[in-house]
Amino acid sequence: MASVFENTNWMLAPILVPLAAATVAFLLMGIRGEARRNAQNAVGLAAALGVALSALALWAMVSGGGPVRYELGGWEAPLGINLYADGLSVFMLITTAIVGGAGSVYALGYFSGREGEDARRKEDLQDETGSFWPLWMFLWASMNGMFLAADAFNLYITLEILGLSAAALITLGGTRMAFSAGMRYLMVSLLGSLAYLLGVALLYGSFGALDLATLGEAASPIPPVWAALALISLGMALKTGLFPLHFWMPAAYTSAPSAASAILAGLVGKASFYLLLRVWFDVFGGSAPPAAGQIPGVLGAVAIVWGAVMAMRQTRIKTLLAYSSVSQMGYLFLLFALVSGAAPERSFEAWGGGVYLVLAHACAKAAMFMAAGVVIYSVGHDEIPRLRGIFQKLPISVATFAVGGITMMGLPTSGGFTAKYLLFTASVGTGQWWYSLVVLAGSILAALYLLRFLNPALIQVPTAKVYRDAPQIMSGTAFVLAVFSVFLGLMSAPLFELLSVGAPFPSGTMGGS
Amino acid sequence: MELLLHVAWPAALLFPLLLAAAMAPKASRPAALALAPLAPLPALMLAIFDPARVELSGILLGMEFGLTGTTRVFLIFTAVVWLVSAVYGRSYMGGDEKKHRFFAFFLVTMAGNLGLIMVRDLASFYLFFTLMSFAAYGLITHDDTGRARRAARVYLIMVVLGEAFLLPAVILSASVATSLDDLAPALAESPLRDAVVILALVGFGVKAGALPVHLWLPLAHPAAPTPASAVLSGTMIKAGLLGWVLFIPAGEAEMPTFGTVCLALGIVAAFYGVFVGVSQREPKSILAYSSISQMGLMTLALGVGMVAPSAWPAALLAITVYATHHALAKGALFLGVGVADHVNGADSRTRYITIGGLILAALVLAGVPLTSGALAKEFLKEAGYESAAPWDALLTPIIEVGAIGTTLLMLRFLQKAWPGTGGEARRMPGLFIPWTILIVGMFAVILAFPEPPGGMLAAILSFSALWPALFGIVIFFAAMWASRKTDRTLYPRIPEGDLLVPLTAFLNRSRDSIGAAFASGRERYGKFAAKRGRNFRDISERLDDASVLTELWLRRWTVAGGLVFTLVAAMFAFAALQ
Amino acid sequence: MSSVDMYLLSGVAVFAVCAYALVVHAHLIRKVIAINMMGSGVFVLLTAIARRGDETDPVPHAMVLTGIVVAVSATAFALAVVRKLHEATGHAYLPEEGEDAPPDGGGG
Repeated sequence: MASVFENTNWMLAPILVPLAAATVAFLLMGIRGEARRNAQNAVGLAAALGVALSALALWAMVSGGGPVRYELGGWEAPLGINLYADGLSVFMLITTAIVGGAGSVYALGYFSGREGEDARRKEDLQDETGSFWPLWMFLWASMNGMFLAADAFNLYITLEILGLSAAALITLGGTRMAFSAGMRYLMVSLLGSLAYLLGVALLYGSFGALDLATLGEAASPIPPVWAALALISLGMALKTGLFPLHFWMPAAYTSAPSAASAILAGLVGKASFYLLLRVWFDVFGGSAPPAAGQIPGVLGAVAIVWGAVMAMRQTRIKTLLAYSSVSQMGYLFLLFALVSGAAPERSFEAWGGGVYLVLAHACAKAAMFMAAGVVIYSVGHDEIPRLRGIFQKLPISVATFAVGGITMMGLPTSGGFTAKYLLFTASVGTGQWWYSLVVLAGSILAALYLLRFLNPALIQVPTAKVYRDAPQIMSGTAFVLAVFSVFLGLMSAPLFELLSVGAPFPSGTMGGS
Repeated sequence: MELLLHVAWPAALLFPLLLAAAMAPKASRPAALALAPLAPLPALMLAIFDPARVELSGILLGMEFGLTGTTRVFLIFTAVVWLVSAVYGRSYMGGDEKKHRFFAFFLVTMAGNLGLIMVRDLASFYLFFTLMSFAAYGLITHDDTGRARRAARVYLIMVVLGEAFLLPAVILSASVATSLDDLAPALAESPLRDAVVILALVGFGVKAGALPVHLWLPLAHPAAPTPASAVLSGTMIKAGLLGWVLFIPAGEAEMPTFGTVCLALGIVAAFYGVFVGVSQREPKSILAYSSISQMGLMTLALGVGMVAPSAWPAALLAITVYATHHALAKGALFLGVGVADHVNGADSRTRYITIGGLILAALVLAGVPLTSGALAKEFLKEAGYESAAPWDALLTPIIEVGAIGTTLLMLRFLQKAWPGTGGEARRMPGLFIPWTILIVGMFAVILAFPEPPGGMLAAILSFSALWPALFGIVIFFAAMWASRKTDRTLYPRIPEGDLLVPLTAFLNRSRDSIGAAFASGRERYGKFAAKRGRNFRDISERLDDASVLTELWLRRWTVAGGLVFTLVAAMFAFAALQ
Repeated sequence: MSSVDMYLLSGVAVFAVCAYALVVHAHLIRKVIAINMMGSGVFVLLTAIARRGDETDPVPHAMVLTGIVVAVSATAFALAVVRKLHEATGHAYLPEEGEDAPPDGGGG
């Protein structure tokens, strides 16, 4: 069985496992009470384990033999469905495996509130219908499907499933706010994916192909390609929440149950960013004019500052975190400007830095939303002025916030440091030093908005009443994930080596090579 | 063997860090405290055996460990002073309730200080430097007195200021070379050179206690518990010096302007430290000012390398030797203050031994014949001779006059540290033994020094080492006699932190006046608004409202839709224009 | 202009007009219909693309069929949320200002 990792059937597992789990968990919704919860939990955890194992198997396969392609059922493109995995795909799979796995474990505790208890206050903590697991599993399957899709149309399908299940997760809160935030997100999401679909139609009309690699070879600078580039970029910018199109984000992340907020803020925005990354470099790589990258770059720079300034003004932990996401998402978009800059040998640095921030931010932000969930679970609200001195009661959750903050600020040893350092050197190296100032300013601003919560939380004053203790598995998972994000900077080499497999740029001296 | 090396290098740093972590749970505290004095040993072993370089590509952006001739010497004296201070600290902090907290910071600071010397890549260097800088805050604030808190606050402000220069310096350098080995030659050719030099001079200058960013030093070094003072003054300011050596391409390029600035600031610091130090009343403050003065002398060597690249090998040698000498001597002096404190009122034999030790350490720092100080000065002068005109002729007299100053400072120090007969003596063999070892080491180190061009014996027996000390003694006692005779203080009393006092006063004043200006502006605006029939609103409140309104505006479907359309059109246009 | 070109253009036109409708109409049912028809615009475009060559290209047809399935589910879910929102608030509009967790964080 030495060749077990060479069997390309592995590529189906990250999609099929959560899909099967989603179906089973959906059927289990018919059962009531404790039995349903236990059964769904078991299915969810098994799926998380399955995804993690298959992601590792794919890692071994891709780093051993380079990018892999798989024809589903032996059908060739264009009618058959092809899967494709390179370093970036596997990197994203690993991201979902880590953050999704932690999210699943967290959900065990989060939705364990006993029925009938006085829990319905800010959020519906109980999920009486058991719909969290099927929705989350569909979401996970769609993300993994997106990371493995080889053609533009399957990207669309996964994008739609992603948007629908994410919108459903937002409405899970069951409040008026949750419904309106979910509805708004649904509209935005559909608008974004339709813009993408129109772009794909234009590309197919021009070149008669859907396969990303084929499109990349065929694409030439003609008006339909420019239109497709513009439509796809803006569609994805909308779904990722790039300034000024972030308007749906604060309400959506705030009104979702915290277990869902963690997944939404940690992973969902990153998936649409992945899609843009994929299409931008694989399809438009040769034909995209360098100047086009300045639009996402400049918007990203504004987002970094605007998001941070708005985060500073917030009085609730979850809205603070949501605006922090607006700011951090801005960093990701800098890479489009930096890659199309004057020095091509810097491209891998900029690209890799942006991609690395996806993982680092996913871990840290998910952990911080989870910690916010613990606060809400224990105290019943997340209003910062009423949480003075809360460190005395919830030390682990406040520590999670502080540790996750290390990544937000981009301090050394954190994944955020590695990523922002690379973006910084790339901006200096390509002669676009003004972006480096924004990167620095963002870090300082991050310290300021994090202190908005940490400062009152740490002072020694009589504090809010904790009216019920959150299961330790919640605070524990959040803390471990936050600590993991801080150590990400120490294990960047194998991940950069992975990223260099099939990367759109030569990795040069980076990535341990 | 290869594998062993891959483990040994990081393990030398992980060991103190793990011990620091073990201070947190109550259960592991006693074991961690017992092991704490051993924490610098692995690093010292590495420094002694100088093993092959190791690259750990998996960590950070590729971490590289290794030593050069210079950093090996730095690592040896740094590890020794940390080791002695840690052993000393075990007894000194013995009765302290929060000693685990002290040692946690102590060990993290140690890991940072040792780590920055052991690594060869820029990112790790910055990481450990920053780790050291921030962890030391916990050492300074440890006593939790008003004085310690003020010192720690000033320290933190200066560290953050330093970081603001350091980070850009490191990142700009990283765009030129990622390894410290290639940095200097690459920087010398790079257009970024001047920017990096300015940033590094200021950024590392904060740590090195260079004028005028030395403000934190005379507050922090005395405020920390004695074992921490010893490492702050003995080794950590040398980290700033090492930063200069690594990031400033002296010897690779001629930088007359910056070099002259360094020389000038070095001379000023050498005398300014004496001038203010003599007026201090506390032995540790006097030592802190002496550190500023001594660092000024080392800055001279850096300046020499910058104005005359050909003199850099001699200057680097002088810096290395001087740093080693100063680390051991200053460490011994600081630890001696703690010992002297404890033998106040002890039997005369103990007191005389202590006084003897203090005098020995003071003589070494003053650089009298037969000491490492005499030798170190010789190397400094040697570097001066190779420098460009007019410095080649100027430096020797400056160094010798500086030695008079140091002698004065040391006499003042002895006067203030002198253990008296009053008070209650506490027997502390745990303090005495490490201190004695350091004093012995201070002399033994001469054997390890290279031979100066004029010959070893000639250097340590030279008259030029003796006369400044004698001259200093004469001046000191003459001044003592004069002040007793006239019954007046002949010397101004300068508060600890010297320039900080007028600076804070100035800042407070300007804050008040800016505040007043704002208040009057607000008042005027209020009148204006009232005249126009509008409600008075604070400006910041209006900005807040503006940001909220912008967010709400962005959320409107028409606005969002319009933005999407505009951006799609803009993107299309950008693509088409190409 | 051939009839295929007509279809191509009208597909894009339907998309654009409905995108406009999505933005300007506040009522959620109208928004849902607008989104639905934006999809139809793309489907018309794809069907027209399929007819351009000598033979009919089956790939766009497969895309349209799949797309219709997606559109049906999206519409169904959107309508369900609109109903829920109507139950909760008594109307079918999205709060344009300040109701769902305003950015100053004061929302309930």
